[in-house]
Amino acid sequence: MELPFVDERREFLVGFRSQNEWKWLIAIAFFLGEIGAGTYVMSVMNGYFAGALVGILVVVVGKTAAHLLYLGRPERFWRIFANPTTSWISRGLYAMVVFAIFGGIYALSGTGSISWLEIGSSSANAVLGISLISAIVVMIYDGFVMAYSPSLPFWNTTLLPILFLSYSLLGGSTLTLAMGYLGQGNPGMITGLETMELWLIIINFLIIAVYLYTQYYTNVTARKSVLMLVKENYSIPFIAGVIIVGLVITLVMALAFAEIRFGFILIGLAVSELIGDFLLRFLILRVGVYSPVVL
Amino acid sequence: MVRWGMVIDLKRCVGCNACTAACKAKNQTPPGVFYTRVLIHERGEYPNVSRVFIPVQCNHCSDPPCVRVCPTGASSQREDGIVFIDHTKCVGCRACYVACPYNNRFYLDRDFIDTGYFPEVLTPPEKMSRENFPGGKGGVVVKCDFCYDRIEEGRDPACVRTCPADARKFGDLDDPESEVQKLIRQRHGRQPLPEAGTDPSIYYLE
Repeated sequence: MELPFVDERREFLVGFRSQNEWKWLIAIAFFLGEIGAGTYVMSVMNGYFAGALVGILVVVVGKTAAHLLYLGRPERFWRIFANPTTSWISRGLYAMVVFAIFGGIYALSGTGSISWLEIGSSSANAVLGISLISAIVVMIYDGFVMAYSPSLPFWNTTLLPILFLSYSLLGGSTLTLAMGYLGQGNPGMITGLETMELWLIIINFLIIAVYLYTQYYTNVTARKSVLMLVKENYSIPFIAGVIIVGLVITLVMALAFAEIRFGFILIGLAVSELIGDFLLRFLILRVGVYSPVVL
Repeated sequence: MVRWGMVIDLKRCVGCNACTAACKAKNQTPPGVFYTRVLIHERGEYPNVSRVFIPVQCNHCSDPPCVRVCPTGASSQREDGIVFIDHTKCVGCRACYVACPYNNRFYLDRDFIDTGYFPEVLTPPEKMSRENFPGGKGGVVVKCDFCYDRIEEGRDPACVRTCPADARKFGDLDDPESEVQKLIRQRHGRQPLPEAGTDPSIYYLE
C-alpha cells in the first residue's frame, strides 16, 4: 500500500509530511540576501560601486527585515550570534555583519564618500578580499542551513549550496547589468556581464538538472519531492516559472539584448530572471518532505 | 552516566491515545500541539491488511540535529540525554523544527494565549495553564521533555505511567541490566528512521 501524503486533515496517519514552517518570508529573505550579495560581487568586480552599494542595501535592509518579520521573538534576535560553532544561521549572521561593514567601507570609498581608503591600495585590497569572502558566505550559507540536516532528504545534499551560489551570481549579474546599462555604466562592463549572464543561465540549468536527477535516485522521500516539482502540486510554477520564464525566456532575452541594445529588453530580462530566481527558492522550500516513520 | 530512553511495544499498543491525553493534561499544551501522539499505519493489500499504532514523540536523539542547528543555544542536551528547550533563549526561527527528521516539534504562535479548546472563551484551567506555560508568550518552539520534572522526582513520564496496555517502558539505556535494555536485546528493538543517523533514545518492539 502506497503511503499517503499527510496534510492537516490526516495528521494522525503515517505518511509523507511537508515542512510547513519555512515558506514565503524565508524564501524572500534567502532571495534578497543572495541576489544582494551577488550584486555586490558582480559590481565590485566591474568597478561599479553604486551597484555594490545597492547590493549591500538589499542584504542589510531587505534580508534583515524579512528575517525579523519571520522570527517568533524578533526582540531576541541578538541571541542568534550565540552558536556559530555548529549553527549555519549563526554563521550567516556573522557573515552578514562582516559583509555590511567591509563591503560598505569598500563601496563607499569607491564612490568617493570615504577619503581615507584609496581604491587599489593594499589596505583597500584587504577590505575588498574580506568583503568578497563574506559576500560568498552570505550567498552560500542559506544552502548550508537547508542541506545541513538529514530531516528533509531533498535538501540534504551539497548540490543545494552550489545551486544557490550559482543562482546568486546569476541574479547579481542580472541586477548589475540592468543597473549598469540603465545608469549609463561603461560599455566594457555591459559586454562582460552579457557574456557572464549567458554562461550562468546555462550553468544554472545544468545544476538544476543534475540536482533533480540525483535527488530522484537518492531515496523515496527525495523522489517524492522531485515529483512534486516536475509532475505534481508545484509542476506549473516550477516548469513555467523557474524553467521557462526564469531560464529559457531570460536566455532568449539575453541573446536578444546582445544583438539589440534596447532598455525594454533588459528590463524584461531582469524581471523574468528575478521571477525564476525567487520561485526556485520558494519551491525548493515548499517541496521539502519528511520521511514517514515506518517500522 | 544515565541515558534516559523509552521502549514502545507496538504489539501492546491499542491506539487508545491515553498517552496523548495524559501528556496534554500534564503539560497543558494548547490545541494542535501534541508532545506525543499516536500515528496510524495501514499496511498491506486487500485482503491481507493490518493496522499498526505508532506512538511518536521527541526521540531525545544522542546526536540531535535540532541542537546543532539552533543558533541561540536554546535547544541543548542534558547529561542524561534529554533534549531540552530553554524558551527564554528561543527566537522562533524554527530551524530546529525543520531539522527534526521526525517532525516532532511544534511552533507556538503568539496568539496561543487566547486560543482554547472552546470557541470564544478560555476555561479557567486553560487561563491558568496559559499563564504558567513554559513557552511564555509564544513565538517559540515546544516539544516533549520526557517529563524531566517527574523523572527528577523518581517517577516515570506521564505517558508511560498512564498507558493501560503497559506498552511503554522507561529507563536507563546505558544500564545493561535495565528493563529497557533487556527488552531491546531480547526483542530486537528498532529505532525510527535509523538512516537519519541521529541515534534516537526511543526504540520500538514489534
